Amino acid sequence: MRREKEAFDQVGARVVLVGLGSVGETATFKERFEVPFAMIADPQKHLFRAFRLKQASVGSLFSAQMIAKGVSAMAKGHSIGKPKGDVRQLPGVFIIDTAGRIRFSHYAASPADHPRPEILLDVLRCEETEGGS
Amino acid sequence: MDLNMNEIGKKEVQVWDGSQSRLRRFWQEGPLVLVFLRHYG
Repeated sequence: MRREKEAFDQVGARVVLVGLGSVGETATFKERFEVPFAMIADPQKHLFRAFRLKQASVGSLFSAQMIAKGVSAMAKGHSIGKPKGDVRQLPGVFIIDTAGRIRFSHYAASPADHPRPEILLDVLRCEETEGGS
Repeated sequence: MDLNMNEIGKKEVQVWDGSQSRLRRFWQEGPLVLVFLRHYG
């Protein structure tokens, strides 16, 4: 999504990431990886629970897909550090309009399940065309 | 899934710079893409 930041800016959308680390860990992560988006620290999972995001089974963490993703990441130079947060927590993405209504939701079925940024941008462009909320 | 966005929007959240804000502030001026990450590291 970093590469698409300009596209998100052009449709007037704000991207905010929610992580499970403390405020300090979140700030360190943001700085280290030059995250161009605002970040929220949710170590107690208040927001995760509010949006009803679930946890993965232990088995799915060691699925062939997850192993392949890990190998691919390592091949690109990413190192496996000590994860901060709940490794079983499943991710998710929501698009919320200015009236506070959810226009898009993605509840990950597995840890590696993320919608492509193009899908999110398509939803936002439709919102823009329809005049949003 | 039916979420009570009115209540969710009132939640105070901790921002990375140490400040606090109600979640709804983030969608007041434009649509919000809220991305929940698994973990860092």
